[in-house]
Amino acid sequence: MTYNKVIGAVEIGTSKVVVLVGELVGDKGLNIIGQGEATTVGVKKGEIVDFRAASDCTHAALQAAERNAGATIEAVYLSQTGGHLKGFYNRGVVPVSAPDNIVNEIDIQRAVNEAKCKKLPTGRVYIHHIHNGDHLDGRAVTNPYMMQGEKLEVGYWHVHGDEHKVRDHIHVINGFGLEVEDMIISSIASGSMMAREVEKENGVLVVDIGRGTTDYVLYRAGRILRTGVICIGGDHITNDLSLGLRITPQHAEEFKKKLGKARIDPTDKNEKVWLFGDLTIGERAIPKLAIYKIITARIEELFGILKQELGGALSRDRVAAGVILTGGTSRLPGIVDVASSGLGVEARLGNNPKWVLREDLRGPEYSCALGLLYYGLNSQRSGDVAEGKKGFVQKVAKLLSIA
Amino acid sequence: MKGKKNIDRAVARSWRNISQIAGRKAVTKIARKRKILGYCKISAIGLTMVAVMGGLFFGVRLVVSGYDSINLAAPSENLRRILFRSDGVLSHEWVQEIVRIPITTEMMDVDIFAIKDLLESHGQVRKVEVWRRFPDQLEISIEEREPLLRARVPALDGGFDELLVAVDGTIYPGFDYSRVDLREIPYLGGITFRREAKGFAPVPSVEILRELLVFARKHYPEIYRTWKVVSCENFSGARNRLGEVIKIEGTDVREIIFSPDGFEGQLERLARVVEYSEQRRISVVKRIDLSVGEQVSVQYYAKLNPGAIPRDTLSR
Repeated sequence: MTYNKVIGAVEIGTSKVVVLVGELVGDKGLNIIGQGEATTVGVKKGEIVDFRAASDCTHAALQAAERNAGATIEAVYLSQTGGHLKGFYNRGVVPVSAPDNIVNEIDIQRAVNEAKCKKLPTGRVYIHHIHNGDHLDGRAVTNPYMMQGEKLEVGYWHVHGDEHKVRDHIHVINGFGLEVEDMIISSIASGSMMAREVEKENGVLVVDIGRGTTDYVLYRAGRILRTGVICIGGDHITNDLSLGLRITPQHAEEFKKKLGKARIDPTDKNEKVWLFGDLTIGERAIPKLAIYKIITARIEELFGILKQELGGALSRDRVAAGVILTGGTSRLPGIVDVASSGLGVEARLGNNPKWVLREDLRGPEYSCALGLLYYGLNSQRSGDVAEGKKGFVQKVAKLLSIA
Repeated sequence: MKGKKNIDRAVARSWRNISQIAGRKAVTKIARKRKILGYCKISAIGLTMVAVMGGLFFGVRLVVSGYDSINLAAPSENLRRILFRSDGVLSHEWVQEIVRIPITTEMMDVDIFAIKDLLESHGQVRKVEVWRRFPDQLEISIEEREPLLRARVPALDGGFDELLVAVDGTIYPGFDYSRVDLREIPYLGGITFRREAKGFAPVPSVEILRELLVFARKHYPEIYRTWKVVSCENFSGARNRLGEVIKIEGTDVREIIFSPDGFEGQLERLARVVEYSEQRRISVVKRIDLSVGEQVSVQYYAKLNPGAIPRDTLSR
C-alpha cells in the first residue's frame, strides 16, 4: 500500500499567510482538501520582523487549513522570499576519467560536487542548487552520461539566503509541531504553475508581483536559468500613494484597489475622486491623474530594475514565450502594457492551471501556494520522500484518521 | 535532492543543516492546544489498542481453556426434609412410610426417579413429580386418582378386600380416605374382577358409569346419595346394544334401570318420579325403569313404605 502524506503548502507572504492542504488521488490526480488564510502580521518584504506575531498568524492559518481539510498536516512545503535571497551561477568542470573518455556516473557526481562546493559567506545557507545545463567539450548536452568527451561541465544556479531569516521561517513552522519537508523559493513555485513546458523550452520569464516583493524566474531550454527577488511590491505603491497624496495608508490601499491602474490615459486628466465620499470634515478631491502617475512611476521603476538585473538574458529571441505576470499586484489594470514596454518583451497575465477546480484559488494571489503544493505532491508521487518515518502508533493513527 | 538525507561534506552549508527544533517561545497558544489534542488522541489510540488486545487475549484464553462451570447451587448437604403436597387425601406420613429415605442420605444420592416409580406404582397415585431443593430438601408433588365406585373383591386369603374404582377404571386400595367420604361412594357390582400381577385389571366401561354418576352427583345429589350399588350385570359397556342396561340399587328406590345413553333425560324423569312419590308420601319405590325411552315404568310395593331394607339384602 502506497503511503501518501497529507501535505501542507505554506506561503508566509507580506500581506497574508496562505496554507493549502493537499493529497494525491490515485496516480495522477491532485486533491486540494483544505485551505487556510490569515492576515500577515510581523512580516515585511517577505522577511519576518516580529517572530511572535508571524507565528500567531501562521499558526492560525495552519489550524484553519487543518480544520477545513479535516486532516492533520504531516509535512510542510515552505516558500521562501525576501531581499536576502541571492543567486549565482557556478560550474563544476572535471576531466572525464575513463580512458575511453566515456562519461560515467562518477564523472557526473564529481562535476556536481565541484559545482556545489563553493563556500558561502558566514551566515548564509544554500536554498537551491538548480541544475541548468551540461556541456561536454564545450557543446551543450542534455544528458552527458555514456557520451564521449574529455571535459565535462555541469552548470548550476545556486540560490542562497540569510541563515537567520531562513531559520525564522522554519522555526515558525516547527513551533506548530511540524517539520519543513522542503523549501522552495517563491519565484520557482509561481513559475511551476504559470509556465507550461513548451514555454519553458522556448524561454519565458515569470514575474510574481506580491505585496512586499517581486519574485522572478527565467526559464530557457526547459531549465531554470535564473531567479531573483526585487524588494518592490504592492505595498510600495500604497506607501507612495499615502505619502504623495498625503492620505492614510488605508485610503491609499483603497484607492489603489478601486481606482488604481498602471497606464495613464489622456481622458484621466480632469477626473477627480473624493477622499471620503461623504462630505466629512477634511473631505477633499484628489485628481485621479495624480494617483495614476504615482502608480505608474513605481511600476515602471519595478520593470526598469528587473530589466537591469536580467540584462542581456532578457530579449525577444531568448524569451520567445514572453513574460507572464502573476501575484496580487498584477491585477492592476494596464500593468501588462507597462511590462511589455518596460521589458521590451511581450507580456501577459498568467492563469492558474485548469486542474485547479476551486474558483477561489484561481486568482493570481495563489500561484505561489499552488506551485508549492504541486511541487510537494509530485515529490510524494515520485517516491523521493522516504517512507516509514512514522512510528507504529502514528501509522495506526493515520489509518484511523485521528492524528 | 529531496528528503532529509545526509549532505555530502564537500557541499557547503544548506538550509537542511538548520536544526528544526523550535524553542518554547516559538510555540503559540494554538500550537500548544494542537499538541495537547494530539497527545490525547494518541493516548486514546493506545488505550483502545490495550483494551482490544486485552479483550482478545482473554477471549482466546477463555475459548482455548474451555468453559469454566459456574456452580450456582448452594453446596449439597444430607437430606433433611421432604416437602410433600397432593391434590387428594394422601398424607405426608403415607409418603414417608412408602419412600423411607434415611436422613444421612446425601442429596445427590437420592434417586428421584426411583421414588417417582415407587409412588406411581400405587393405584391411588396418578402422577408424581420429585425435585431436589438444595441444600437439604426433597419436594414431592402427587396427583391422585379420584374414586368413582367401591368394590369388594375376593382376597387371596379367602375373604374380601374393599378397594376403590377410579374414574379411569383403575382398581386400587384407598389410603387416607375418610369413612364419611367413602360411605357416599356406591359399590360396583355385576363384574368379575380379574387379578393381575400387580393388583387388578382396570374395569372396562367405567367411562359410561362415570358419566352417569358424575352427572347425578353434580345435578341430583339427593338422589345420588341414596344409591348404594351400581350393577353392571346386564351391561357390557356398549352404549347402543340391545338389552344393555345399568342397574342401580338404592335406599329410596330399590332398583333403577338406566339405559347407557341419554343420562340427562333419564335422571330428569327419575327426579320427577321421586318427587311425585314423595308428594304422595311414598318413601320407597320398588322399581323405576328409565330404559324404555321417554316413558317411565314405575313399580310400587303393594304395601307402601315397607321400611328400611336391611343392608345384607342389597344385591352386590
